[in-house]
Amino acid sequence: MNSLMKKAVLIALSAVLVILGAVMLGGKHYTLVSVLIAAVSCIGFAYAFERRELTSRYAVLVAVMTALSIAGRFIFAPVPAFKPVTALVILSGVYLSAEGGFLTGALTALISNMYFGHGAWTPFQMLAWGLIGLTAGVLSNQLKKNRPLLLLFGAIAGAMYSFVMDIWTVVWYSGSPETGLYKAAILSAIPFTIIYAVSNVVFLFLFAKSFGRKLSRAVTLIER
Amino acid sequence: MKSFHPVTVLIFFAAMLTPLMTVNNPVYTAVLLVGAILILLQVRSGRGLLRELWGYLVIFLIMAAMNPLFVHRGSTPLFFLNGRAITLEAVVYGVCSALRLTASIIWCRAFSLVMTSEKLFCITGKLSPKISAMLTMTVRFIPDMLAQGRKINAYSRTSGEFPDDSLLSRFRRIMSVFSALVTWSIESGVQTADSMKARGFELKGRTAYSRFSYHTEDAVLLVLCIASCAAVCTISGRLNAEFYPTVKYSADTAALGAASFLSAAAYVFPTAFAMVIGLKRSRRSLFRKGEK
Repeated sequence: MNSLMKKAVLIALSAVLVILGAVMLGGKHYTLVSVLIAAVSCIGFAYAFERRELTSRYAVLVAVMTALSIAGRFIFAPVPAFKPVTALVILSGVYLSAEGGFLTGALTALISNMYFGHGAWTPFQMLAWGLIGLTAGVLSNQLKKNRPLLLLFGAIAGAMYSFVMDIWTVVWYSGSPETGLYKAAILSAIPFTIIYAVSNVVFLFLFAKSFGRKLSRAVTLIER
Repeated sequence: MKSFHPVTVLIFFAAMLTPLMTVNNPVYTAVLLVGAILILLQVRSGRGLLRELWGYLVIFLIMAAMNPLFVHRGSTPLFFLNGRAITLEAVVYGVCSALRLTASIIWCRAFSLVMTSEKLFCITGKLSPKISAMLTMTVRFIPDMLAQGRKINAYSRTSGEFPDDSLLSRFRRIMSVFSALVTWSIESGVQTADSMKARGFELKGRTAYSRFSYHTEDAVLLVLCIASCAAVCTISGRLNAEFYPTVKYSADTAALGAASFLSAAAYVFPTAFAMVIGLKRSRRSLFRKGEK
């Protein structure tokens, strides 16, 4: 379990490094490189996951969390702009494991795009949500104890998701990282960024405790 | 397109999208845009086509306007807006990348239509049967949860605990519905898991079921799209137009034109090929229907 987490962190780090390298070295095909890196890191994770023992309860729990975060998009449809997806990915990272968090995030992106439309952004989205879940899992002990920290993490994760997807928008649009366009993209996305961050905080504030109790119980059941 | 093997479909669309990301040449992009619309027409069913195309046009216009408004590079100012130069180069570049973006959006839309969940599971099943099993479970849970959610919702409405008069009370009601749904999902999930275990889920040697098989046309399409994609990517350096500081399109006119025409033709061919196969199949199925 621990070595697997290390592997996942390694994959994520290498992805970030290669993206940085490609941008700094003045490589030309930013869009292609970024899609490939995202896809390769997701495939690397799938490969690592395939090699480990999988109990049915663990598998079902991750599947339930993923399904909840997708069904949440539909259930919360009457409340405008409030989506519990990122918060659920964070909770699943905190209470299941780093691996479970990554899996929930990546699978949520993959499956919800079956309803909302696939594209070259799918691997990028999978990686972004997966990394949020992974980080939450790595910080699990601190986030479980410290509630303000959990709320702060939720806000940052919401904003980071928006920023990362904006990088993608700009690279996709202009074929290179233009700072002017990036600023414009961030500015035009400010309402969404705020909504993402605030809805994460609200959801975690209202739900973290009861959700945590339910998930801990489920985890106890798994280990039994 | 729908009759091809999932792996072929994935590689075909990847091979179509890759040059859109690497080549920046308006003529070439336009050819790919035509290909995207051809494939979309082929895989799309139902009405509302004009409305959809109209939507793409709007996206195109917004994207084209974005670049000159925020990027002020280039040497030919057209006019000044708030003291910032709107340059000819930025306008041209905006139109070109909006064209690329619109083409890739249409390609992605066609891809979403072709890549059904069944096809997706076939691919993930080859990559990792475990992930595929979890995907299948998740997709099965979603309608279950939505149905249960509707039940809980109906109860909480009739219970009168939360009157539906303000946004806040509506929000509180949905929160309570969601909370109940979470409890139900986790508990029933654990039961499902035990039942799956009893049926041998944790045994070794799981494979993924797939009812797709390779045909000759899959091989032909694969060779075609991989070859053309590789060819275009190798010569992409000579296809690219330059935009800043001034627009330079034809530094090497004949070679550039010929190269872009050749690669464009290679890209249109799989489209035509897929259409011919589709036509043949539908005629064959008509014939079979006639026999009965």
